[in-house]
Amino acid sequence: MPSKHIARLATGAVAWLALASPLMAQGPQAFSLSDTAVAIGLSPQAAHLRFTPTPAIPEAQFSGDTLPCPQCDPQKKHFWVAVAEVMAVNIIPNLVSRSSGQEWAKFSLESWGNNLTLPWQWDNNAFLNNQFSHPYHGAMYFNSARTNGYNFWQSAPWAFAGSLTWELFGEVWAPAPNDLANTTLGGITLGEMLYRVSSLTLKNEATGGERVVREVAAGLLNPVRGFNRVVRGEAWKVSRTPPEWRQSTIFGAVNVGYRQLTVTGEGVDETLDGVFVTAEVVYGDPLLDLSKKPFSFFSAEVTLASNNAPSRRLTSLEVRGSLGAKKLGNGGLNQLAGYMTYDYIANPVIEFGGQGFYFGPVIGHRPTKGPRIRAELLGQFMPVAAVQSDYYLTAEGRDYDYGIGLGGLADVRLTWAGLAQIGIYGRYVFEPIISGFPGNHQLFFTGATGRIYWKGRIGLGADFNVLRRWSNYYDRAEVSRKNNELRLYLTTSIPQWRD
Amino acid sequence: MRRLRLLLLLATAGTAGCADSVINVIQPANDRAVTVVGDSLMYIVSNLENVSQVDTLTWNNPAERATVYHQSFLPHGYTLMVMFDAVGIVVDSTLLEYQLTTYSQAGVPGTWTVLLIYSGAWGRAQFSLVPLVGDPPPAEVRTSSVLEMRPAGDRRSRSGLGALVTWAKEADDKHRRG
Repeated sequence: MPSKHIARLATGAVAWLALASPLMAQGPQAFSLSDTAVAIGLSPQAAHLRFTPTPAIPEAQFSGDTLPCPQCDPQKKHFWVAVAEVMAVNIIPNLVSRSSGQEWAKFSLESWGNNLTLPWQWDNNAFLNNQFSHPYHGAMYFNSARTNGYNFWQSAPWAFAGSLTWELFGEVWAPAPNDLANTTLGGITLGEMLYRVSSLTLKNEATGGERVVREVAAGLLNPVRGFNRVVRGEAWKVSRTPPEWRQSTIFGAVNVGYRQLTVTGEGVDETLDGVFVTAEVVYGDPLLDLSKKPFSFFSAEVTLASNNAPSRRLTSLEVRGSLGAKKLGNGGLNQLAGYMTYDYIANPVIEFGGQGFYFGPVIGHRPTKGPRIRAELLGQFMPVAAVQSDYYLTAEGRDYDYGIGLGGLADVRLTWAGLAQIGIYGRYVFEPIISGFPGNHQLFFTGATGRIYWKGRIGLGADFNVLRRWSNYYDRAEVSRKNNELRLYLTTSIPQWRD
Repeated sequence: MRRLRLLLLLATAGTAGCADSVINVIQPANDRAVTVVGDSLMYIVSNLENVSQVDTLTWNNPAERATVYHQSFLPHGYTLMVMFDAVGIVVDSTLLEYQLTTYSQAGVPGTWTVLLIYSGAWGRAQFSLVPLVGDPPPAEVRTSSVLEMRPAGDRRSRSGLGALVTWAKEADDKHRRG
């Protein structure tokens, strides 16, 4: 078997392990669909169902409350360990590159001086590198602090500091503002998401093979945390799992199915058929948990598709986490909420990536009978967003423009508990270009989604999404593209959806 | 107070990035070398420090296309290569890159002209030009369009790259006028 096939199989196994283990970590509880759920509406494809663990097995019996819980108390901050780990996160890739003879890794006092005094430059790396690899690197900086006793807000500056030190001192290339923004903001969003998913994966009461699998999976999801747990002996010490590592409501699903893309525009009329697989996690209650600690509610969804170019097989990765909320009126579920977002969308029409913030009203209605409703109308600000360009092409692989992203999202979802869920959404982004070919882009996403489940484990789903891009360029013809996307799929929920 | 000091330090580091230094041209100390071996051309200029100028080469290409083997290392600033075929048509415009292979478009064989437009460049410019018979490998076609990135005279072209492309446009016009 060719080595690349083995690598793919290994990657698939690791991905499955990473996906499944945190959800299995919820234990042998019975799960029930309690409501509306759903609807975080972040992504076009997500069904966003809400599951509430039924207290069929007492929590004490499950978590072993007679055991000590050294990780339950507020953790001591390990400042210097965190500093050392940020440095390691910078030095390790540098040394690997240096050992393979890469000139850009051979920093010196002279290169540091140049980077401190010469102008910064937007870099021209390919979309995957700038919009995914940098944010993932940032997640490691973030977790250097997060797994050393710092909370979300305290960890955020570490992502910035780690990225800044890399840009100034870790490589000889000129510091790039897009790298700093992507690494910092993307690192915070991906970092907290990975921290919480790895918390779900871990179970301090577990022993034997189960413990090994859980620790390895958590280490793959969050390498910095895995390293710290080994160094501190936490990886094998039996103790009580901190309650805050478990969220009251968790939903995970894997969707597999058929995907048809129809691309139209000036001189373009193409239909692509293929298959896709999506993994999604909805962590926390999209209404009740908004006002709690940051990312007490988040949704994450990743899609791999066959009918994209090889460099775009990672078709989308979207994460949205709550930052806080304020109740509107007395009681009720209506709130003014803020979120932090990460977007990575790569298909023949859109290629859109960036990090930013949502803010606006979230309305919820949960009657005792009939469908439960959740609606939101959010404004969005993205300090740096990348949109596919028709004229800015570099040999190094950059084919997108950078600018500020301004826009909003409207989303309405209805859920019939235990049976089905439907939703519609619309999203608009305006991007005046800062780096690339002068002009601006407008993106409009709209669509509908629906799912119906059988026995809470298996379901059928259908999504229809329309993606439009209008690009206006200074002194060049404007370009418009439209992409219809149809998805028909089988979905399996993890854990079982009951009512 | 300690946080304030840190912020001030970071702000200072950030604004220091706006500083600039003396603009240079290529000098003997840069060891500029153009070597022709068979039908191939090799070019190298080293130890560039904030160089801004246009360097011109001619190359006899017996084929319709050229393969460009990039080996430059220019951590700051930019260098744009614009290649003209024997009848003065632009067949390539690409930034000099680090460890990359690119291919020109098809043109008329004969004496080709290569403009190298330096803009605040630091480091080493180095590449080889090799005649390419037939089409480039499909999976590796990298036709860049840097020259198309910003129209000449665009007031928004304040960055080094924008200025460089404006310069490229002007050089192109001058070349066409003969």
